[in-house]
Amino acid sequence: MQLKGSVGKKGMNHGSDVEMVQIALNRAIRSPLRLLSVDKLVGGKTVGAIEAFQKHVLKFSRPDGLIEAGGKTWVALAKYLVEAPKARIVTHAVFPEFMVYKDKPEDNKEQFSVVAKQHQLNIAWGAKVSPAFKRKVILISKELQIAPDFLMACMAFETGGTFSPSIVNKTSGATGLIQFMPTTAVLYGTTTEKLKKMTAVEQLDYVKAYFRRFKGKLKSLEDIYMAILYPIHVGKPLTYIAFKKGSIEYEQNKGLDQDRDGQITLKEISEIVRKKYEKGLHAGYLG
Amino acid sequence: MKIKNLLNLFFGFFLMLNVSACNSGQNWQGKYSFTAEFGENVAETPVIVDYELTINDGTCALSIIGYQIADDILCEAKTDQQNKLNILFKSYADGSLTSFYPAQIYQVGELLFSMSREDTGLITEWGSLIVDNPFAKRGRYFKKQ
Repeated sequence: MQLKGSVGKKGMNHGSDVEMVQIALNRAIRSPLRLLSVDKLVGGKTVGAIEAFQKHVLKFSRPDGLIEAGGKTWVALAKYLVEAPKARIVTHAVFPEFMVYKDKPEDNKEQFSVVAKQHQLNIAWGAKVSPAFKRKVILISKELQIAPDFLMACMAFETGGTFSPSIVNKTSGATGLIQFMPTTAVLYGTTTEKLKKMTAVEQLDYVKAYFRRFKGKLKSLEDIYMAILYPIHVGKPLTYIAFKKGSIEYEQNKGLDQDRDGQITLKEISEIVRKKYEKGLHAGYLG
Repeated sequence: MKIKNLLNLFFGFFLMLNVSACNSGQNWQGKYSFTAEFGENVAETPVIVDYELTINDGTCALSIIGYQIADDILCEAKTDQQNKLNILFKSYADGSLTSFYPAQIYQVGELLFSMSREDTGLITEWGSLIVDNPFAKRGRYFKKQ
């Protein structure tokens, strides 16, 4: 895995490089609550994560927030793209929330870089699916501009870790990789009966079709999960209150209201998916 | 004779106004909502969809928000002789017939559902709107807000 240039504070920050670094850094962050958006933009959070990695994993006495192509930080961080994480960032105290060092929106026009190196890339839960499935997920992720780790984590969550195209909840009829409801299936030109008979690789075409409307909008794990669960909440911050006491949605989901304040935030809703993401990076799952 | 003709003309005009008001669903103006619970998916996530129908002067809008859906549909509200309100598909809110879906699902004028006021309350009869149908074809679903 090579970088075209430096990434981070005062770096060249090619979009494709930034993307690869953000995916790797997310795998190096222990608490999933502060996962970086995979948006190809270097802001305060990305630089902060680089500094945290340098300080806590590489034990740099003076972290500079910059990853040089071929430098010590990249050599260590690139391993996270192919191996289960051995050392991880355990504190986020150094993550500045609002500082922006350098944004390069024009880099968004670049192609998703990870795919070119797909034969090298390991992804979350990749060890639990066929090579063909993994390849297709990476290709779809490229097209939809989303991180393959996040998509895999959501499908793992929705299928109970089975990635089965025919897994179904008999009450609702929700079926397959992203638990297509019968109406959803019809809206996308198929039926749950047909979806059930497809291979997992074939069904990915419908996963792609479903997510296409959100292209360019799914920057975080929570965005992808919300696209499935409640599309109206895509792009909202983690503090956004999705359900309030008194609504049917709240009553049905009140187990998620961890602080019992009568409100369910996106952070509370998504916690279980973040756990799936974490699990997917462990040895035996990353692949 | 002239007066009679004028009266007839006036009466006819009055009738026309009434029919037009009826067709535009004027006596149904307001907001109607229904929250559909479809059970759970494999991840034990509740599958819930909110439907909200708004009928105002000359406008009919249906918002569908919930699990795997966030659609805004423009509709036509037409009452029939039994004062049943038929909600017909017109287009999506962006004016297209497909929105972001790969193909057209509803035809223009297709009956999505209808509502009627009966002794037991407001009765909804499903047309082509809901495929996930754990519900009876007819029942008390939409409620006026």
